[in-house]
Amino acid sequence: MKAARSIKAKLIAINMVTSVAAVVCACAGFAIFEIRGFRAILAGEIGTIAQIVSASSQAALAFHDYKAAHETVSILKAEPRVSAGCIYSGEGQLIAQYLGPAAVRCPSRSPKGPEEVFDAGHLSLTRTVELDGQRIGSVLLIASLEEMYSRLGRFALIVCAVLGASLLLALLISSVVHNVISRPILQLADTAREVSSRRDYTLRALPTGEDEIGVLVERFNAMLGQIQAQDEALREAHDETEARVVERTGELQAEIARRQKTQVELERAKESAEEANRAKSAFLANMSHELRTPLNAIIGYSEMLQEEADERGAEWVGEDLRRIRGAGRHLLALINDVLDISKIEAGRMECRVEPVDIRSMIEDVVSTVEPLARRNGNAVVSACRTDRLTMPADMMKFRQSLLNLLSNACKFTERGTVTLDIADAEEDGRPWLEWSVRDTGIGIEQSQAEKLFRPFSQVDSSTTRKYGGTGLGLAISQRFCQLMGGRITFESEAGSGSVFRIHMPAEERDGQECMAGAPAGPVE
Amino acid sequence: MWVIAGLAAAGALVQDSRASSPGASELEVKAAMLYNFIKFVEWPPHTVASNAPFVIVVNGSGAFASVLARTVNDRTVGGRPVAVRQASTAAEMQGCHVVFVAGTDPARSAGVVEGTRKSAVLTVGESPGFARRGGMIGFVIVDNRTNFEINVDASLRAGLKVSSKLLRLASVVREGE
Repeated sequence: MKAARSIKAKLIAINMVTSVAAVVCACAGFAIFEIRGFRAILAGEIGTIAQIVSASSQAALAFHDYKAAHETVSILKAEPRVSAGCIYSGEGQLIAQYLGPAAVRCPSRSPKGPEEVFDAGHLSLTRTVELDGQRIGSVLLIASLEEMYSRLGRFALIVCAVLGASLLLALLISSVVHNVISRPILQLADTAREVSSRRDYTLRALPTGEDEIGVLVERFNAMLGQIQAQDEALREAHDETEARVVERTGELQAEIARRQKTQVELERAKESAEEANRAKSAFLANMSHELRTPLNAIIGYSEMLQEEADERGAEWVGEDLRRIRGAGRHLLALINDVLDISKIEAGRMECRVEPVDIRSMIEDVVSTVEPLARRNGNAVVSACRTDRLTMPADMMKFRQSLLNLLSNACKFTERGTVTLDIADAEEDGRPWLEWSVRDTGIGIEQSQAEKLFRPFSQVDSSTTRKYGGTGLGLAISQRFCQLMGGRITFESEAGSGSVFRIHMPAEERDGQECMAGAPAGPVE
Repeated sequence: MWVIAGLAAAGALVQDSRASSPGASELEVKAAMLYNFIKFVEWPPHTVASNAPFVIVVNGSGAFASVLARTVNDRTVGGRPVAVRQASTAAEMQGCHVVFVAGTDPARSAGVVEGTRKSAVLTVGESPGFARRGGMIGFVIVDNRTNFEINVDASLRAGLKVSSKLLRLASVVREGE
């Protein structure tokens, strides 16, 4: 009921303040009017008395009969309002005075002109005494304002009584009448509370007439109507959304289940692929030994027989034996390559990096490849344009890679030139060495370039038949160089030769281990 | 007492605040009082023409006449100027309003009183018993103070009205007392 209390209190306060203000203003007005009236009357009456005294003292003043003056002024005894009467000579000196019971004295000198002065307790009224147009003295009467104050006191009492009565009346009336205002407001407040606590937007407040509160109630109801409509719309939307959410969730869950299944299958496939790979590598690694042993026997014995045949002069056998040996060697090379590649792919290829003498390497490979070059009528040229003496690498692997490039160059060139060039290079601020093998051979076509470093793909099968080789050489060389921290690049144009370059770091990096498990991939 | 009264008298006559002249004598006091008497007496209307001056006749003292003349110089009564004359015969006293009989000779006083009986003339004297013997206002010295006696009957007979204010100050005497 807080609202009721405040409005009631406010109404009461307003009423009381209004009443008090009205009464106080009225009383103030009357009081002022009273005081002025009283003063005017008093001044008038005392003035009259002063005139009488003045007239009576004419002769006394004219003839300086101070005894007579004193007698004249003593008649003021009869007027209880006069506290003192003073007669002054023409120069303003006090000649005669009457002092009443009140403690009032005559001033020793007369005030100047005719005047009335009201101070806190008295009226001092002065009149001049004239004889035949000349001022011969003055009369000062001091009258007490006591009566006026007592009247004012009674007046104040009446005012207080009236004030009290009007306050009471205001209180009573407000207490009864405030309901006219506050009841509709309270009803509205109750309705609002119910609506919000029950969240029931179908409720409405009771209409209460056409004043401002009635308008408030109308608007309130309209607002509730809006809220109700919105609430229903919201509910509908909510339900719809829920339904959709459920749908989508179902769809998503199905999708997730499918994907999970796929993933499981993929993982399983991957695992089995990896396992197959590992199995294959393991198989190859194991089998290589099995394969090489009889092969070495074939090669070895065929060599022995060939030598013996040559000694005994049986050329007709020697040729066949040479063929056997050649085939055996080729098979051995194949097996070695396959072994290498499978070892690399299984991540089990070891390499050891040590300083390799550059010039010794050049001599070694050039002399090794010389016979092959001569077979096709090619010339081999080498140029070492670096001041470095050594390079960190795995000797065997590097040699194999370099020989691979050189022998390819010789194989695919006829009556041309194969150039081996070693130069300094820099990459990322580090020193590198470039070993370039240039040939003037058949070159490589753009379309074939992609498959170059892939295992088992020579440029095409016709090349294999014509040029021999296992198709694994470049792939192995690339992997070897990557293991050592370098790589192989090439440039070529069909018909005008190729350049293959091995890029190797010229200085050791942190640690002497090889790059573990360098991934295979096409290299530009 | 005298000096103070004289000073006061002189001050009452002078409207601005000039200091009164010191050493006022008895003559001056009487002269001032005489001048004031006029203000408290009413003459019959036919004897007082509007613009004609008040005439005071002094009988028997040239000194007093000159003092009186000095006192009333430029003064007015009811807006009319005051003139002072000396006279010794009845004929010379014609047309005056006030007669002052100087001196203490009772015979002379009686003569003047008799001579002005029929006219509206205020008779003022300073001989002892002046008022009792028919004069209207008589100066008397009481306790070194100049006072005066008034014979109201005599004034009434002459048609003069003396203001009660003056009567209050004076000792009123009856004829023959």
